[in-house]
Amino acid sequence: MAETLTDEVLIARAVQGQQQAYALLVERYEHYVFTLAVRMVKHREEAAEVAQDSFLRAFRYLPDFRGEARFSTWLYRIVHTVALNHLRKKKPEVHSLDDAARPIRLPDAQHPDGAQQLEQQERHAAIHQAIEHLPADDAAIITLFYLYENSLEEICQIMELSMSNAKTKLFRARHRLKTILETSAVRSAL
Amino acid sequence: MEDHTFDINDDLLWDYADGMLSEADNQRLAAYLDEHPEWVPRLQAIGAERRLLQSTPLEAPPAGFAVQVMKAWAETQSPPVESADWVIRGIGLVFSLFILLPLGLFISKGFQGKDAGVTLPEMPKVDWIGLLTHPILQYGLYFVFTILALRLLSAVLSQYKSMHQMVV
Repeated sequence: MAETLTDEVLIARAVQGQQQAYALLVERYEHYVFTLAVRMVKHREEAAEVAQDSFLRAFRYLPDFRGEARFSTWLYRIVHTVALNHLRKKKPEVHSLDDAARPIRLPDAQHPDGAQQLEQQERHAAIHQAIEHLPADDAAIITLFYLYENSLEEICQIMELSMSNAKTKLFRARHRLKTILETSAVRSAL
Repeated sequence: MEDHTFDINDDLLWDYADGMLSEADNQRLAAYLDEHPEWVPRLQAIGAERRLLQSTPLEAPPAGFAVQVMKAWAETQSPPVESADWVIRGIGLVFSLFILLPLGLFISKGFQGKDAGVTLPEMPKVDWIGLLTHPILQYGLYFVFTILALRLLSAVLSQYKSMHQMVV
């Protein structure tokens, strides 16, 4: 039954004070919110804090949500802001030399489909690892555009960018991701 | 034949795959690819990379994350704890008076018409039994204990309510 309830219905019920509606919104979006947070702050425990803060902030301001954008767009905008604030407060991160030198193993795309599923998992792991090396905003835009399939207009709202800035950022983020994957592939081949 | 001259490269193919080209450029590139099929495998490879980015699994939050969020939310909804402060301050004030009142009496009586420094002042007579059994004090204590009991009951009920709402 819960699956059939739209975000709008859940929001209306939550604003009326139904705790169950809040709980369903958390269940529906916890993976998306946490993934965006962890890709931006690069640390699971801190990402959990960011995700929790984002939900609490969203609930506090839920009565102000006017429904002009999708709820997910509004929520991701909060996550993006909370994550950036978290990163600003945080001391500069000291990257482990071991981490930087750790090669990202990117299997050959032309491999025959004997162990295709394993191959797919390994390629996902390589992408995941490469995204870890991206700056927060690059990781956010790649996640929002490709994984969450947000439009560029929505990304402009979430990240508070102009359309041309969003296009440039996406272009650069894609290039950086490609460079990381290629560099790592070369490093692992050596 | 229409001339579809393009400075074709990966970036242009990515923009094409991402749907970021204008309608006119889209059509021009589609026509160019029809005429230059050697670029099609590259476009297919980009398509595969896009699908890979789109299909990376979501990260699972720590176990019990949703419950933790709802607990934190319930805490922000419960009344502030400042009301407990004045009860504690009230009790502190009553006990302070118990100590300071006899001390004040002791000091003031000790210096009345006595030779300072020679005779020790007499201890003032305080009727402790009378004070403790005074109706005002008894009503005061009854009031304080009633407030404390009500606060305790309210805290227990609010905890029970928030837990029940999370389970339903």
